[in-house]
Amino acid sequence: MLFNSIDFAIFLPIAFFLYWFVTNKNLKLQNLLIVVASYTFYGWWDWRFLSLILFSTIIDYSIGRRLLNEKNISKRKVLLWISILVNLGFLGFFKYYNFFLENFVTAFSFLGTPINAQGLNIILPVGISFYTFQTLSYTIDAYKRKLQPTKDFIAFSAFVSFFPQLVAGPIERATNLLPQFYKKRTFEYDKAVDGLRQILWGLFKKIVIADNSAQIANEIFNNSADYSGSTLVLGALFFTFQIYGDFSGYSDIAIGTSRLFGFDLKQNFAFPYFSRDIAEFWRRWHISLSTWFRDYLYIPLGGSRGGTWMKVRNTFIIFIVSGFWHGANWTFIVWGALNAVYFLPLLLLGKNRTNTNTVAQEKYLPSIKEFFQIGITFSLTVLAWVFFRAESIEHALNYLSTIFSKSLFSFPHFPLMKLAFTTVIMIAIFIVIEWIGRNKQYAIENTVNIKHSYLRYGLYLAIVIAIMVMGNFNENQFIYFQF
Amino acid sequence: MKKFIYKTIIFSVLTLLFLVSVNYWGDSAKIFHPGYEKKIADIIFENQNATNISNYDERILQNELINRLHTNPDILILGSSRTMLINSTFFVEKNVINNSVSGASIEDLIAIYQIYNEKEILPKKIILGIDPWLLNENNGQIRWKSLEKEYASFSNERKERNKSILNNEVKQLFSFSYFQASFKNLPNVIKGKSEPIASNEKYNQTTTKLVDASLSYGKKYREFSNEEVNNNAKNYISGGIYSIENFNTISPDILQEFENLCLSILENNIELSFFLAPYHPVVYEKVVQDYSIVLDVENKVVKFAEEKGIEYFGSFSPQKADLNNDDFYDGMHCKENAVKKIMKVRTHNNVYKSLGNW
Repeated sequence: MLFNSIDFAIFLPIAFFLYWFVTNKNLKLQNLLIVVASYTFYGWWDWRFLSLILFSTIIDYSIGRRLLNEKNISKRKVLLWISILVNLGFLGFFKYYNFFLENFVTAFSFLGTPINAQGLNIILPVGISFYTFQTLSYTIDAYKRKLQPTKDFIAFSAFVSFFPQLVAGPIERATNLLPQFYKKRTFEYDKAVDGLRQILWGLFKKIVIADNSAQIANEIFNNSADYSGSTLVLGALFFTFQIYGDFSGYSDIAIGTSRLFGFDLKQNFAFPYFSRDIAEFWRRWHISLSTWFRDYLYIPLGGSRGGTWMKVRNTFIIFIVSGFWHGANWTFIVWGALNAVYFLPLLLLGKNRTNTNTVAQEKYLPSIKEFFQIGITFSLTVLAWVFFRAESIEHALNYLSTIFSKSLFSFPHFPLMKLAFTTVIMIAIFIVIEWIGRNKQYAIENTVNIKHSYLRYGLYLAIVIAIMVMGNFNENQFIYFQF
Repeated sequence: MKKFIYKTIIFSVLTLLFLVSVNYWGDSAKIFHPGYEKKIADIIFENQNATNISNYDERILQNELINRLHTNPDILILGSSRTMLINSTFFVEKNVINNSVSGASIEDLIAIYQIYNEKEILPKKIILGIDPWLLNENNGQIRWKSLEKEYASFSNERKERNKSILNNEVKQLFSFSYFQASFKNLPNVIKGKSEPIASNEKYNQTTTKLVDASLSYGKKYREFSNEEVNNNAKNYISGGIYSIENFNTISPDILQEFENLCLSILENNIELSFFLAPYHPVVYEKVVQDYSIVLDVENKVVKFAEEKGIEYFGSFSPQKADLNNDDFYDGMHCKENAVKKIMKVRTHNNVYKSLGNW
């Protein structure tokens, strides 16, 4: 079920009503309702996916229970590895099987020993990368005794399948989300209103910014050979806003929906395009994934404690794995590696934690230095997104070589100019609003402080009207579902 | 909790009210303000062209037009927007009516034919436009439902394809996509500029329905530069191609219906011809590459025509039809002269024959 669909618009009020009015007296029943609602939400795509998530839940719950009483370190390790192998095995099979097979076939052919192997027609279960990482965090934390494994199967099932963040995150840690299922939730007016506000902003990002940008980016990327360098720059810029609007919009809707049900999820995007360097960008982009890799991969590998070589190695590993997590294509790996190249100089010079505060704090505008820093970081990010969006490495390289040609200085021209013009206006307004609200959890959180209720509601109404008039209502998938 | 629910309900109701009001009053497709089609038909039967027309129900218009006929047509054109330019000047002294409707599916062709059948004014000849999506079960076309009764009476069965629990009116009333079209149309409604206008000119600022129910495009469309046409064609293939995006197999059921329709026409001693409108070269290249099933449709239809001795004109391939980029308005609509070329029209300087003068 898509957040931007009529189905969800009907589903959400029903789930809300049953949650607060029918099952509110009994915590177990309320959790059970979350499980049923989440399975309905997920099964809406394809009911066969449910068996996978159920299997994952049972395995990790059982391993957690065994870890609870197991003192023997070797046995604990075996249990941890079973969980890792099962979870990553599923992920590997569904997401990467055909990729590895194709590359083996190519490698053998290259070595002069062609082999004949048929790929499998595998459907990638929606959101498998997200819930796999979420359940893995549970087992790893339980193994490290950072978390008391749960005995409550329903609470655990609700944690694994919690519908607002099931298919595209934020990837919640068991230490943050699971305990919330043990406690009775009481309805808080301010929290619920805040949730609705964040949902509204998420819908604006998705339907107005991302989906309109997507139409133009798709046109330009799909026909890149026909267009000039200047048009391709526009294509890359539109994709830059598409992916941000799409993914952070999803996170906003997920966090907002969770708040309606009394849950608090972690912030997943903190205005990353206002970053002054790449290190700051990665502290602000897809925070739940970056921190997951930091805690469960980078630090266990030694982090930046060792010598220079270890720092370089670990940085490349974390960025390349992060790229590969996004998809079974060399383009994602190159995207990851490129970001590692951006990041390394900062790390080696010890400047990767220079910009930890909000840019231009308590000022209206950034300083000239900050402005250029933001501009350079943004440009590097846009360049890397070309690899992320391209169909293949060859496509990305051709795209970039056209950008850096004489045609860069021609006037951009493509069929969707009118849509591009209105989308640019919307993006400009969007950037201003995001800038004003950059020190908050989401851009329009501040509006709660507008004392005059008519003004406040007028603003919400303006956003609703902007969505209705300027939105793209083709119920487009969220990009990150494929990951 | 109460406060939250009240406020949420009030806000949601106000939003929905706004949505419904704009959809109802703006009503870009004239769903909630019937009678628009009747006004177009009135103009045509007064021997004038109807211009300033947009977003009306073309199926209802055909019903209106046919119901006013008392004589059998000599030639009836059935098909989609790709056959709308075929008109009475193509033929010498014939009573020609063009009943093509945009995005025609098999149900449309059957339903319109059935109206003639029931009225017992079947034509002497039918030119049937064959579109690539005709045999596609997943073509997404639901507009034929305006003629559902007529369609059902041909085959004596009700079709469950594309079924929905909501009727079209209710869906459109709450549709955000419809809202955007209706919102744009609202200024015209307020200024009273949304009514059809009678004209003696064939070419007008906006689309015109001519006296034989054929079509003449508006000024902007007619005057597209070559570059704009090429951009239109590229735009056409930038997403999924219209009505063939989910075309995986030729539907045996639709194929059967198509053959039944043709056989019924032939059994009624009506001369039958097929017209296959070509795609723009840019589009056709994409079709060959990614939608080869379209070529199967053409082969199947041509084979059927040859078996039954049915004359056919054109091809989905612009090369086969001997057309180039200049012969098109966009990705799938060729110009009138190109249609004439395909149909080997030799007569020129014929005047339009009005439906009102039959």
